[in-house]
Amino acid sequence: MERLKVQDICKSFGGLTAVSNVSFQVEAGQIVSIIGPNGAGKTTVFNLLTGFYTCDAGSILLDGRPIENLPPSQYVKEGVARTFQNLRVFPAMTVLENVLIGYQSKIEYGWADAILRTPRLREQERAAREAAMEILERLKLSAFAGERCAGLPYGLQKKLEIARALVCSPRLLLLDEPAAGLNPQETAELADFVHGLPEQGFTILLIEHDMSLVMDISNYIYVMDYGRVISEGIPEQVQKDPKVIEAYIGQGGIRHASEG
Amino acid sequence: MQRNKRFFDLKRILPLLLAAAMYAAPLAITNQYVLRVCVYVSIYSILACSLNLISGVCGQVSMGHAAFYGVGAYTSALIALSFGLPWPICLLAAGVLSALVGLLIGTPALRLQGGYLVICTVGFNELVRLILLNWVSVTRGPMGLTNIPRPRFFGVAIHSGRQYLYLSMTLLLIVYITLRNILHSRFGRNLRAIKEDETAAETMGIRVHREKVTAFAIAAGFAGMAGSMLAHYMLYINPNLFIGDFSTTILSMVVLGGMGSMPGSVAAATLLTVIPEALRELDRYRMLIYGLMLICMMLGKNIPWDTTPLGRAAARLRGRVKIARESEHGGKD
Ligand SMILES: Nc1ncnc2c1ncn2[C@@H]1O[C@H](COP(=O)(O)OP(=O)(O)O)[C@@H](O)[C@H]1O
Ligand SMILES: [Mg+2]
Repeated sequence: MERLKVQDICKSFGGLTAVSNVSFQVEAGQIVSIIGPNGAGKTTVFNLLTGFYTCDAGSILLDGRPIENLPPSQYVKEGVARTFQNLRVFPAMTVLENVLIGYQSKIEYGWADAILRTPRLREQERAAREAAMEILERLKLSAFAGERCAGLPYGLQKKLEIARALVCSPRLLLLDEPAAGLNPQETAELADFVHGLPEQGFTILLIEHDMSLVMDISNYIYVMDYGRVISEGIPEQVQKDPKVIEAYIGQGGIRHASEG
Repeated sequence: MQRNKRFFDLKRILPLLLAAAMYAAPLAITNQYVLRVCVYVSIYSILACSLNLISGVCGQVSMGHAAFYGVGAYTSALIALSFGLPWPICLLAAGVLSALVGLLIGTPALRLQGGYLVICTVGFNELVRLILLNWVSVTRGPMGLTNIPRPRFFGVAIHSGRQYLYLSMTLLLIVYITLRNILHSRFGRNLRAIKEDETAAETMGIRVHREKVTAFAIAAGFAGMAGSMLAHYMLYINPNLFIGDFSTTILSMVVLGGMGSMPGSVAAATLLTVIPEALRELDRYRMLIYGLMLICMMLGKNIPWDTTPLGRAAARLRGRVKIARESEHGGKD
Protein backbone atom coordinates (compact mmCIF):
# COMPACT_ATOMS: atom_id res chain seq x y z
CA MET A 1 0.00 0.00 0.00
CA GLU A 2 1.08 3.59 -0.53
CA ARG A 3 2.60 5.42 2.40
CA LEU A 4 0.94 8.67 1.33
CA LYS A 5 -2.06 9.08 -0.93
CA VAL A 6 -3.24 12.58 -1.74
CA GLN A 7 -6.47 12.92 -3.65
CA ASP A 8 -7.82 16.06 -5.29
CA ILE A 9 -6.73 18.52 -2.65
CA CYS A 10 -7.59 22.17 -3.29
CA LYS A 11 -6.63 25.40 -1.60
CA SER A 12 -7.39 28.95 -2.58
CA PHE A 13 -6.53 32.23 -0.91
CA GLY A 14 -9.28 34.69 -1.69
CA GLY A 15 -9.39 34.74 -5.48
CA LEU A 16 -6.06 32.98 -5.96
CA THR A 17 -6.13 29.23 -6.43
CA ALA A 18 -2.80 28.06 -5.05
CA VAL A 19 -3.51 24.31 -5.28
CA SER A 20 -6.22 22.86 -7.44
CA ASN A 21 -7.20 19.20 -7.59
CA VAL A 22 -3.72 17.92 -6.87
CA SER A 23 -3.35 14.16 -6.49
CA PHE A 24 -0.20 12.16 -5.97
CA GLN A 25 1.16 9.27 -4.00
CA VAL A 26 4.34 8.18 -2.31
CA GLU A 27 5.35 4.53 -1.95
CA ALA A 28 7.03 3.49 1.27
CA GLY A 29 10.81 3.55 1.06
CA GLN A 30 10.96 5.85 -1.94
CA ILE A 31 12.07 9.39 -2.67
CA VAL A 32 9.35 11.26 -4.51
CA SER A 33 9.90 14.84 -5.63
CA ILE A 34 7.66 17.75 -6.43
CA ILE A 35 9.24 20.27 -8.76
CA GLY A 36 7.92 23.34 -10.51
CA PRO A 37 8.56 27.05 -10.92
CA ASN A 38 8.27 29.55 -8.07
CA GLY A 39 4.70 30.10 -6.96
CA ALA A 40 3.55 26.79 -8.41
CA GLY A 41 2.00 25.81 -5.09
CA LYS A 42 4.57 23.30 -3.80
CA THR A 43 5.03 24.78 -0.35
CA THR A 44 1.27 25.18 -0.08
CA VAL A 45 0.96 21.42 -0.61
CA PHE A 46 3.37 20.87 2.31
CA ASN A 47 1.35 23.25 4.45
CA LEU A 48 -1.78 21.26 3.63
CA LEU A 49 0.05 18.03 4.46
CA THR A 50 1.03 19.35 7.89
CA GLY A 51 -2.14 21.16 8.94
CA PHE A 52 -0.90 24.74 8.60
CA TYR A 53 -3.59 25.31 5.98
CA THR A 54 -6.93 23.53 5.88
CA CYS A 55 -7.85 21.80 2.64
CA ASP A 56 -10.83 23.31 0.82
CA ALA A 57 -11.49 19.83 -0.60
CA GLY A 58 -9.83 16.48 -1.07
CA SER A 59 -8.31 13.87 1.17
CA ILE A 60 -4.89 12.92 2.49
CA LEU A 61 -4.22 9.35 3.62
CA LEU A 62 -1.13 8.22 5.51
CA ASP A 63 -0.96 4.43 5.48
CA GLY A 64 -4.70 4.50 4.88
CA ARG A 65 -5.49 6.84 7.76
CA PRO A 66 -7.02 10.23 6.92
CA ILE A 67 -4.78 13.00 8.23
CA GLU A 68 -6.14 16.13 6.59
CA ASN A 69 -7.00 19.19 8.67
CA LEU A 70 -5.57 18.07 12.01
CA PRO A 71 -3.93 20.61 14.31
CA PRO A 72 -0.30 21.07 13.17
CA SER A 73 1.09 19.72 16.44
CA GLN A 74 -0.64 16.38 15.77
CA TYR A 75 1.33 15.45 12.67
CA VAL A 76 4.52 14.29 14.35
CA LYS A 77 2.46 11.75 16.29
CA GLU A 78 0.84 10.65 13.03
CA GLY A 79 4.29 10.15 11.56
CA VAL A 80 4.86 13.22 9.40
CA ALA A 81 7.83 15.51 9.98
CA ARG A 82 8.99 18.42 7.84
CA THR A 83 11.62 21.05 7.25
CA PHE A 84 10.95 24.57 6.03
CA GLN A 85 11.94 26.40 2.87
CA ASN A 86 13.03 29.35 5.02
CA LEU A 87 15.11 27.67 7.69
CA ARG A 88 13.29 27.46 11.00
CA VAL A 89 15.70 26.32 13.68
CA PHE A 90 15.70 27.65 17.26
CA PRO A 91 18.66 30.06 17.01
CA ALA A 92 19.29 30.75 20.71
CA MET A 93 19.21 27.07 21.66
CA THR A 94 22.13 24.71 21.28
CA VAL A 95 22.39 22.22 18.45
CA LEU A 96 21.65 19.37 20.86
CA GLU A 97 18.63 21.15 22.32
CA ASN A 98 17.26 21.74 18.83
CA VAL A 99 17.33 18.02 18.18
CA LEU A 100 15.87 17.28 21.63
CA ILE A 101 12.87 19.42 20.67
CA GLY A 102 12.44 17.12 17.68
CA TYR A 103 12.51 14.15 20.05
CA GLN A 104 10.03 15.66 22.50
CA SER A 105 6.93 13.90 21.16
CA LYS A 106 8.49 10.58 22.21
CA ILE A 107 9.11 11.72 25.78
CA GLU A 108 6.36 10.61 28.10
CA TYR A 109 7.12 11.92 31.56
CA GLY A 110 4.71 14.48 33.00
CA TRP A 111 4.78 17.57 35.19
CA ALA A 112 5.13 15.66 38.44
CA ASP A 113 8.22 13.86 37.10
CA ALA A 114 9.64 17.20 35.99
CA ILE A 115 9.11 18.98 39.29
CA LEU A 116 10.38 16.07 41.42
CA ARG A 117 13.13 15.04 38.97
CA THR A 118 12.13 11.39 39.24
CA PRO A 119 14.23 8.48 37.94
CA ARG A 120 11.68 8.19 35.14
CA LEU A 121 12.66 11.68 33.98
CA ARG A 122 16.37 10.98 34.24
CA GLU A 123 16.01 7.76 32.31
CA GLN A 124 13.97 9.34 29.51
CA GLU A 125 16.18 12.42 29.31
CA ARG A 126 19.21 10.18 28.99
CA ALA A 127 17.55 8.17 26.22
CA ALA A 128 16.57 11.40 24.47
CA ARG A 129 20.13 12.69 24.63
CA GLU A 130 21.47 9.42 23.26
CA ALA A 131 19.04 9.40 20.36
CA ALA A 132 19.80 13.04 19.60
CA MET A 133 23.55 12.50 19.71
CA GLU A 134 23.23 9.51 17.43
CA ILE A 135 21.42 11.57 14.79
CA LEU A 136 23.97 14.38 15.15
CA GLU A 137 26.71 11.81 14.70
CA ARG A 138 25.10 10.55 11.51
CA LEU A 139 24.93 14.07 10.10
CA LYS A 140 28.48 14.85 11.28
CA LEU A 141 27.16 17.56 13.58
CA SER A 142 28.11 16.04 16.93
CA ALA A 143 31.15 18.30 17.29
CA PHE A 144 28.78 21.27 17.47
CA ALA A 145 26.31 19.71 19.94
CA GLY A 146 26.90 22.27 22.68
CA GLU A 147 27.06 25.30 20.42
CA ARG A 148 24.38 27.85 19.91
CA CYS A 149 22.68 27.22 16.63
CA ALA A 150 22.80 30.90 15.62
CA GLY A 151 26.60 30.77 15.39
CA LEU A 152 26.69 27.94 12.84
CA PRO A 153 27.15 28.47 9.11
CA TYR A 154 23.95 28.33 7.07
CA GLY A 155 24.74 24.94 5.56
CA LEU A 156 25.09 23.31 8.97
CA GLN A 157 21.88 24.92 10.20
CA LYS A 158 20.05 23.40 7.23
CA LYS A 159 21.49 20.01 8.13
CA LEU A 160 20.46 20.53 11.72
CA GLU A 161 16.89 21.16 10.63
CA ILE A 162 16.91 17.79 8.86
CA ALA A 163 18.40 16.15 11.97
CA ARG A 164 15.60 17.63 14.07
CA ALA A 165 13.00 16.15 11.72
CA LEU A 166 14.72 12.75 11.49
CA VAL A 167 14.86 12.28 15.25
CA CYS A 168 11.04 12.14 15.25
CA SER A 169 11.41 8.82 13.30
CA PRO A 170 8.76 9.98 10.82
CA ARG A 171 7.05 7.55 8.49
CA LEU A 172 7.04 10.36 5.97
CA LEU A 173 9.66 13.10 5.83
CA LEU A 174 8.85 16.30 3.94
CA LEU A 175 11.87 18.32 2.80
CA ASP A 176 11.16 21.79 1.40
CA GLU A 177 14.09 22.89 -0.78
CA PRO A 178 16.84 21.44 1.45
CA ALA A 179 19.58 22.47 -1.00
CA ALA A 180 18.53 26.11 -1.27
CA GLY A 181 21.45 28.32 -0.24
CA LEU A 182 23.99 25.49 -0.16
CA ASN A 183 27.21 25.56 -2.20
CA PRO A 184 27.79 22.79 -4.81
CA GLN A 185 29.88 20.69 -2.46
CA GLU A 186 27.33 20.89 0.34
CA THR A 187 24.59 20.09 -2.17
CA ALA A 188 26.44 16.97 -3.30
CA GLU A 189 26.87 15.86 0.33
CA LEU A 190 23.20 16.49 0.99
CA ALA A 191 22.21 14.49 -2.09
CA ASP A 192 24.28 11.56 -0.85
CA PHE A 193 22.74 11.77 2.58
CA VAL A 194 19.14 12.01 1.38
CA HIS A 195 19.78 9.24 -1.13
CA GLY A 196 20.84 6.98 1.74
CA LEU A 197 17.75 7.63 3.86
CA PRO A 198 15.37 5.07 2.27
CA GLU A 199 17.85 2.35 3.22
CA GLN A 200 17.43 3.40 6.83
CA GLY A 201 13.68 3.03 6.49
CA PHE A 202 12.67 6.59 5.71
CA THR A 203 10.19 7.67 3.05
CA ILE A 204 10.73 11.08 1.54
CA LEU A 205 8.71 13.70 -0.25
CA LEU A 206 11.07 16.32 -1.58
CA ILE A 207 10.55 19.79 -2.99
CA GLU A 208 13.64 20.96 -4.77
CA HIS A 209 14.78 23.56 -7.23
CA ASP A 210 18.15 22.02 -8.01
CA MET A 211 17.21 19.92 -11.06
CA SER A 212 20.31 17.74 -11.13
CA LEU A 213 19.78 16.82 -7.48
CA VAL A 214 16.16 15.87 -8.12
CA MET A 215 16.98 13.85 -11.23
CA ASP A 216 19.78 12.00 -9.45
CA ILE A 217 17.95 10.80 -6.36
CA SER A 218 14.20 10.69 -7.09
CA ASN A 219 12.30 7.50 -7.77
CA TYR A 220 9.36 9.45 -9.11
CA ILE A 221 8.64 13.09 -9.90
CA TYR A 222 5.54 15.27 -9.99
CA VAL A 223 5.73 18.60 -11.79
CA MET A 224 3.49 21.44 -10.64
CA ASP A 225 2.64 24.71 -12.34
CA TYR A 226 -0.09 27.20 -11.45
CA GLY A 227 -1.39 24.95 -8.69
CA ARG A 228 -1.83 21.87 -10.88
CA VAL A 229 0.16 18.72 -11.54
CA ILE A 230 1.14 19.15 -15.18
CA SER A 231 3.36 16.12 -15.54
CA GLU A 232 4.59 13.08 -13.65
CA GLY A 233 6.85 10.12 -14.14
CA ILE A 234 10.32 8.75 -13.53
CA PRO A 235 13.12 11.31 -13.96
CA GLU A 236 13.89 10.35 -17.58
CA GLN A 237 10.26 10.79 -18.65
CA VAL A 238 9.80 14.10 -16.89
CA GLN A 239 13.02 15.51 -18.26
CA LYS A 240 11.79 15.03 -21.82
CA ASP A 241 8.24 16.27 -21.31
CA PRO A 242 7.73 19.42 -23.43
CA LYS A 243 5.20 20.80 -20.91
CA VAL A 244 7.84 20.71 -18.20
CA ILE A 245 10.44 22.37 -20.38
CA GLU A 246 7.94 25.07 -21.28
CA ALA A 247 7.01 25.72 -17.65
CA TYR A 248 10.66 26.10 -16.71
CA ILE A 249 11.68 28.18 -19.71
CA GLY A 250 8.67 30.40 -19.17
CA GLN A 251 9.88 31.03 -15.67
CA GLY A 252 13.46 31.53 -16.78
CA GLY A 253 12.19 34.18 -19.19
CA ILE A 254 10.39 35.99 -16.41
CA ARG A 255 13.42 35.81 -14.20
CA HIS A 256 15.60 37.35 -16.89
CA ALA A 257 13.08 40.07 -17.51
CA SER A 258 12.86 41.02 -13.84
CA GLU A 259 16.62 40.99 -13.44
CA GLY A 260 17.17 43.13 -16.55
CA MET B 1 35.87 5.83 43.39
CA GLN B 2 33.88 7.50 40.70
CA ARG B 3 31.11 8.05 43.22
CA ASN B 4 33.49 9.77 45.58
CA LYS B 5 34.69 12.11 42.94
CA ARG B 6 31.19 13.01 41.97
CA PHE B 7 30.29 13.68 45.56
CA PHE B 8 32.90 16.41 45.73
CA ASP B 9 31.89 17.82 42.38
CA LEU B 10 31.76 21.60 42.77
CA LYS B 11 28.61 21.85 40.71
CA ARG B 12 26.77 19.66 43.19
CA ILE B 13 28.26 21.12 46.33
CA LEU B 14 27.92 24.77 45.43
CA PRO B 15 24.10 25.00 45.63
CA LEU B 16 24.18 23.24 49.01
CA LEU B 17 26.80 25.67 50.31
CA LEU B 18 24.75 28.57 48.98
CA ALA B 19 21.63 27.29 50.70
CA ALA B 20 23.53 26.77 53.95
CA ALA B 21 24.93 30.29 53.77
CA MET B 22 21.48 31.62 52.98
CA TYR B 23 20.03 29.98 56.09
CA ALA B 24 22.91 31.06 58.31
CA ALA B 25 22.83 34.69 57.20
CA PRO B 26 19.67 35.81 59.05
CA LEU B 27 21.31 34.82 62.36
CA ALA B 28 23.85 37.56 61.74
CA ILE B 29 21.24 40.21 60.96
CA THR B 30 19.97 42.04 64.03
CA ASN B 31 18.69 45.20 62.45
CA GLN B 32 14.88 44.95 62.15
CA TYR B 33 14.84 47.22 59.14
CA VAL B 34 17.35 45.07 57.26
CA LEU B 35 15.33 41.95 58.10
CA ARG B 36 12.25 43.66 56.73
CA VAL B 37 13.97 44.52 53.46
CA CYS B 38 15.16 40.92 53.20
CA VAL B 39 11.61 39.60 53.57
CA TYR B 40 10.54 41.86 50.72
CA VAL B 41 13.47 40.68 48.64
CA SER B 42 12.27 37.08 49.11
CA ILE B 43 8.68 37.91 48.20
CA TYR B 44 9.64 39.96 45.14
CA SER B 45 12.07 37.26 44.05
CA ILE B 46 9.17 34.80 43.99
CA LEU B 47 7.22 37.25 41.84
CA ALA B 48 10.15 37.83 39.47
CA CYS B 49 11.03 34.13 39.13
CA SER B 50 7.43 33.15 38.41
CA LEU B 51 6.92 35.91 35.84
CA ASN B 52 10.25 34.90 34.33
CA LEU B 53 8.72 31.52 33.42
CA ILE B 54 6.08 32.96 31.14
CA SER B 55 7.63 36.28 30.06
CA GLY B 56 11.37 35.58 30.20
CA VAL B 57 11.55 31.93 29.18
CA CYS B 58 8.48 31.67 26.97
CA GLY B 59 8.47 35.26 25.70
CA GLN B 60 4.80 35.99 26.50
CA VAL B 61 5.10 39.43 28.05
CA SER B 62 2.56 39.98 30.82
CA MET B 63 2.01 43.31 32.55
CA GLY B 64 -0.59 41.94 34.92
CA HIS B 65 1.43 39.83 37.33
CA ALA B 66 0.57 42.03 40.32
CA ALA B 67 -3.08 41.13 39.80
CA PHE B 68 -2.39 37.47 40.62
CA TYR B 69 -0.31 38.64 43.58
CA GLY B 70 -3.41 40.54 44.71
CA VAL B 71 -5.82 37.68 44.09
CA GLY B 72 -3.56 35.46 46.22
CA ALA B 73 -3.19 38.03 49.00
CA TYR B 74 -6.95 38.64 49.26
CA THR B 75 -7.85 34.95 48.96
CA SER B 76 -5.47 34.01 51.72
CA ALA B 77 -6.43 36.88 54.01
CA LEU B 78 -10.17 36.34 53.54
CA ILE B 79 -9.96 32.61 54.20
CA ALA B 80 -7.89 33.22 57.33
CA LEU B 81 -10.20 35.98 58.55
CA SER B 82 -13.51 34.23 57.84
CA PHE B 83 -12.70 30.61 58.61
CA GLY B 84 -9.61 30.85 60.77
CA LEU B 85 -7.87 28.16 58.77
CA PRO B 86 -4.11 27.64 59.31
CA TRP B 87 -1.77 29.60 57.07
CA PRO B 88 -0.40 26.68 54.99
CA ILE B 89 -3.95 25.96 53.84
CA CYS B 90 -4.53 29.65 53.07
CA LEU B 91 -1.27 29.66 51.13
CA LEU B 92 -2.29 26.66 49.05
CA ALA B 93 -5.76 28.06 48.44
CA ALA B 94 -4.21 31.35 47.32
CA GLY B 95 -1.93 29.47 44.92
CA VAL B 96 -4.70 27.31 43.51
CA LEU B 97 -7.20 30.14 43.06
CA SER B 98 -4.63 32.43 41.43
CA ALA B 99 -3.62 29.61 39.10
CA LEU B 100 -7.27 29.05 38.18
CA VAL B 101 -7.73 32.75 37.46
CA GLY B 102 -4.54 32.53 35.39
CA LEU B 103 -6.03 29.64 33.45
CA LEU B 104 -9.24 31.57 32.88
CA ILE B 105 -7.50 34.74 31.67
CA GLY B 106 -4.59 33.02 29.94
CA THR B 107 -6.71 30.75 27.75
CA PRO B 108 -8.12 33.58 25.62
CA ALA B 109 -5.33 36.14 26.24
CA LEU B 110 -2.47 33.90 25.12
CA ARG B 111 -4.08 33.57 21.69
CA LEU B 112 -2.93 37.17 21.24
CA GLN B 113 0.54 38.07 20.08
CA GLY B 114 3.07 40.57 21.47
CA GLY B 115 1.63 44.01 22.07
CA TYR B 116 -1.98 42.81 22.10
CA LEU B 117 -1.19 40.40 24.92
CA VAL B 118 0.50 43.21 26.87
CA ILE B 119 -2.55 45.47 26.53
CA CYS B 120 -4.85 42.63 27.50
CA THR B 121 -2.89 41.89 30.70
CA VAL B 122 -2.75 45.60 31.58
CA GLY B 123 -6.54 45.66 31.28
CA PHE B 124 -6.82 42.56 33.43
CA ASN B 125 -4.69 44.14 36.16
CA GLU B 126 -6.91 47.21 36.14
CA LEU B 127 -10.00 45.03 36.28
CA VAL B 128 -8.73 43.22 39.36
CA ARG B 129 -7.83 46.51 41.02
CA LEU B 130 -11.34 47.85 40.38
CA ILE B 131 -12.95 44.72 41.76
CA LEU B 132 -10.82 44.86 44.91
CA LEU B 133 -11.71 48.53 45.25
CA ASN B 134 -15.44 48.29 44.62
CA TRP B 135 -16.55 44.93 45.96
CA VAL B 136 -16.73 46.57 49.35
CA SER B 137 -18.89 43.92 51.04
CA VAL B 138 -16.08 41.37 50.63
CA THR B 139 -12.85 43.30 50.22
CA ARG B 140 -13.78 46.35 52.32
CA GLY B 141 -12.74 48.47 49.34
CA PRO B 142 -10.11 51.20 49.80
CA MET B 143 -9.97 50.55 53.55
CA GLY B 144 -8.41 47.18 52.86
CA LEU B 145 -8.29 44.14 55.10
CA THR B 146 -6.84 44.52 58.58
CA ASN B 147 -5.94 42.20 61.44
CA ILE B 148 -4.87 39.39 59.17
CA PRO B 149 -3.69 36.57 61.47
CA ARG B 150 0.00 35.71 61.64
CA PRO B 151 1.07 32.26 60.44
CA ARG B 152 1.16 29.79 63.33
CA PHE B 153 3.19 26.63 63.57
CA PHE B 154 2.52 24.13 66.37
CA GLY B 155 0.45 26.71 68.21
CA VAL B 156 3.15 29.38 68.09
CA ALA B 157 2.64 32.49 65.98
CA ILE B 158 5.45 33.70 63.74
CA HIS B 159 6.47 36.99 65.26
CA SER B 160 9.95 38.28 64.76
CA GLY B 161 11.42 39.65 61.56
CA ARG B 162 13.93 36.82 61.57
CA GLN B 163 11.22 34.15 61.73
CA TYR B 164 9.41 35.83 58.87
CA LEU B 165 12.62 35.90 56.88
CA TYR B 166 13.10 32.18 57.37
CA LEU B 167 9.54 31.55 56.30
CA SER B 168 9.66 33.69 53.18
CA MET B 169 13.13 32.38 52.28
CA THR B 170 11.89 28.81 52.51
CA LEU B 171 8.95 29.63 50.27
CA LEU B 172 11.33 31.24 47.79
CA LEU B 173 13.59 28.20 47.89
CA ILE B 174 10.69 25.83 47.17
CA VAL B 175 9.40 28.01 44.32
CA TYR B 176 12.91 28.44 42.93
CA ILE B 177 13.68 24.72 42.91
CA THR B 178 10.31 23.87 41.40
CA LEU B 179 10.74 26.39 38.60
CA ARG B 180 14.34 25.38 38.02
CA ASN B 181 13.31 21.74 37.69
CA ILE B 182 10.60 22.71 35.23
CA LEU B 183 13.15 24.66 33.18
CA HIS B 184 15.52 21.69 33.14
CA SER B 185 12.83 19.35 31.86
CA ARG B 186 11.22 19.00 28.47
CA PHE B 187 8.60 21.55 29.51
CA GLY B 188 11.22 24.25 29.97
CA ARG B 189 12.82 23.28 26.69
CA ASN B 190 9.46 23.48 24.94
CA LEU B 191 8.78 26.93 26.40
CA ARG B 192 12.12 28.17 25.11
CA ALA B 193 11.38 26.70 21.69
CA ILE B 194 8.01 28.48 21.66
CA LYS B 195 9.74 31.78 22.37
CA GLU B 196 12.10 31.21 19.45
CA ASP B 197 9.71 29.99 16.78
CA GLU B 198 6.11 28.99 17.40
CA THR B 199 5.61 27.50 13.97
CA ALA B 200 8.63 25.23 14.25
CA ALA B 201 7.63 24.27 17.80
CA GLU B 202 4.14 23.34 16.63
CA THR B 203 5.62 21.24 13.80
CA MET B 204 7.70 19.33 16.33
CA GLY B 205 4.51 18.29 18.11
CA ILE B 206 4.45 20.92 20.84
CA ARG B 207 0.92 22.08 21.65
CA VAL B 208 1.98 25.68 21.79
CA HIS B 209 -1.15 27.28 23.21
CA ARG B 210 -1.57 24.64 25.88
CA GLU B 211 2.03 24.92 27.04
CA LYS B 212 1.75 28.71 27.20
CA VAL B 213 -1.45 28.56 29.24
CA THR B 214 0.03 25.99 31.62
CA ALA B 215 3.13 28.12 32.18
CA PHE B 216 0.95 31.19 32.68
CA ALA B 217 -1.18 29.39 35.29
CA ILE B 218 1.89 28.11 37.15
CA ALA B 219 3.35 31.62 37.20
CA ALA B 220 0.03 33.01 38.44
CA GLY B 221 -0.15 30.35 41.15
CA PHE B 222 3.27 31.22 42.54
CA ALA B 223 2.46 34.93 42.41
CA GLY B 224 -0.65 34.14 44.45
CA MET B 225 1.49 32.37 47.04
CA ALA B 226 3.77 35.40 47.22
CA GLY B 227 0.62 37.44 47.85
CA SER B 228 -0.36 35.15 50.70
CA MET B 229 3.09 35.57 52.26
CA LEU B 230 2.77 39.33 51.97
CA ALA B 231 -0.71 39.44 53.53
CA HIS B 232 0.27 37.43 56.57
CA TYR B 233 3.43 39.44 57.00
CA MET B 234 2.06 42.97 56.61
CA LEU B 235 -1.15 41.90 58.42
CA TYR B 236 -2.85 44.61 56.37
CA ILE B 237 -3.50 44.81 52.63
CA ASN B 238 -5.27 47.26 50.34
CA PRO B 239 -5.89 47.42 46.58
CA ASN B 240 -3.05 49.92 46.05
CA LEU B 241 -0.45 47.23 46.62
CA PHE B 242 -1.54 45.41 43.47
CA ILE B 243 -1.78 48.09 40.82
CA GLY B 244 -0.38 47.99 37.31
CA ASP B 245 2.65 50.07 38.31
CA PHE B 246 3.84 47.21 40.45
CA SER B 247 3.38 44.77 37.55
CA THR B 248 5.73 47.00 35.59
CA THR B 249 8.27 46.80 38.40
CA ILE B 250 8.10 42.99 38.43
CA LEU B 251 8.51 42.91 34.67
CA SER B 252 11.51 45.22 34.85
CA MET B 253 13.07 42.75 37.31
CA VAL B 254 12.69 39.97 34.76
CA VAL B 255 14.04 42.12 31.93
CA LEU B 256 16.94 43.42 34.00
CA GLY B 257 17.75 39.88 35.15
CA GLY B 258 18.14 38.87 31.53
CA MET B 259 14.85 37.39 30.23
CA GLY B 260 14.90 33.71 31.08
CA SER B 261 17.59 33.59 33.75
CA MET B 262 16.42 32.54 37.21
CA PRO B 263 19.49 33.71 39.16
CA GLY B 264 19.22 36.91 37.12
CA SER B 265 15.60 37.39 38.23
CA VAL B 266 16.57 36.97 41.88
CA ALA B 267 19.53 39.31 41.54
CA ALA B 268 17.43 41.94 39.80
CA ALA B 269 14.62 41.61 42.36
CA THR B 270 17.22 42.17 45.08
CA LEU B 271 18.72 45.20 43.34
CA LEU B 272 15.37 46.80 42.58
CA THR B 273 14.25 46.33 46.17
CA VAL B 274 17.43 47.33 47.98
CA ILE B 275 18.41 50.32 45.86
CA PRO B 276 15.16 52.28 46.27
CA GLU B 277 15.42 51.62 50.02
CA ALA B 278 18.99 52.89 50.06
CA LEU B 279 17.88 56.01 48.23
CA ARG B 280 15.16 56.75 50.75
CA GLU B 281 17.40 59.40 52.34
CA LEU B 282 17.42 61.36 49.13
CA ASP B 283 13.66 61.25 49.18
CA ARG B 284 12.95 63.95 46.62
CA TYR B 285 15.42 62.64 44.02
CA ARG B 286 14.74 59.00 44.68
CA MET B 287 12.49 58.21 41.73
CA LEU B 288 14.65 60.35 39.48
CA ILE B 289 17.83 58.44 40.36
CA TYR B 290 15.98 55.15 40.22
CA GLY B 291 14.64 55.90 36.75
CA LEU B 292 18.03 57.02 35.47
CA MET B 293 19.60 53.89 36.87
CA LEU B 294 17.09 51.65 35.13
CA ILE B 295 17.77 53.41 31.83
CA CYS B 296 21.55 53.04 32.28
CA MET B 297 21.25 49.37 33.16
CA MET B 298 19.09 48.68 30.13
CA LEU B 299 21.45 50.59 27.85
CA GLY B 300 24.38 48.79 29.47
CA LYS B 301 22.85 45.47 28.56
CA ASN B 302 23.04 46.43 24.89
CA ILE B 303 26.71 47.34 24.94
CA PRO B 304 28.71 44.53 23.31
CA TRP B 305 30.71 43.88 26.47
CA ASP B 306 32.64 41.06 24.85
CA THR B 307 34.48 43.56 22.67
CA THR B 308 35.60 45.84 25.50
CA PRO B 309 38.95 45.15 27.24
CA LEU B 310 37.08 44.21 30.41
CA GLY B 311 34.83 41.82 28.54
CA ARG B 312 37.76 40.20 26.74
CA ALA B 313 39.58 39.63 30.02
CA ALA B 314 36.45 38.04 31.47
CA ALA B 315 36.02 35.86 28.39
CA ARG B 316 39.62 34.69 28.64
CA LEU B 317 39.04 33.80 32.28
CA ARG B 318 35.84 31.95 31.44
CA GLY B 319 37.63 30.15 28.65
CA ARG B 320 40.29 28.94 31.04
CA VAL B 321 37.71 27.70 33.52
CA LYS B 322 35.85 25.92 30.74
CA ILE B 323 38.98 24.20 29.48
CA ALA B 324 39.89 23.14 33.00
CA ARG B 325 36.42 21.70 33.48
CA GLU B 326 36.49 19.85 30.20
CA SER B 327 39.81 18.17 30.89
CA GLU B 328 38.51 17.12 34.27
CA HIS B 329 35.41 15.76 32.60
CA GLY B 330 37.46 13.98 29.95
CA GLY B 331 39.43 12.26 32.68
CA LYS B 332 36.30 10.92 34.27
CA ASP B 333 34.72 9.03 31.40
N1 LIG C 1 -0.98 32.32 3.19
C1 LIG C 1 -1.12 32.72 1.91
N2 LIG C 1 -1.94 33.74 1.61
C2 LIG C 1 -2.08 34.13 0.33
N3 LIG C 1 -1.45 33.58 -0.70
C3 LIG C 1 -0.62 32.55 -0.47
C4 LIG C 1 -0.40 32.07 0.85
N4 LIG C 1 0.48 31.04 0.80
C5 LIG C 1 0.79 30.89 -0.50
N5 LIG C 1 0.14 31.79 -1.25
C6 LIG C 1 0.23 31.90 -2.71
O1 LIG C 1 0.08 30.64 -3.27
C7 LIG C 1 0.91 30.50 -4.42
C8 LIG C 1 1.79 29.29 -4.26
O2 LIG C 1 2.79 29.57 -3.32
P1 LIG C 1 3.83 28.47 -2.81
O3 LIG C 1 3.11 27.25 -2.45
O4 LIG C 1 4.66 29.10 -1.75
O5 LIG C 1 4.72 28.24 -4.10
P2 LIG C 1 6.06 27.42 -4.30
O6 LIG C 1 6.45 26.81 -2.99
O7 LIG C 1 5.76 26.41 -5.33
O8 LIG C 1 7.09 28.40 -4.78
C9 LIG C 1 1.70 31.79 -4.55
O9 LIG C 1 1.07 32.59 -5.52
C10 LIG C 1 1.57 32.41 -3.19
O10 LIG C 1 1.61 33.81 -3.27
MG1 LIG D 1 8.11 27.08 -1.83
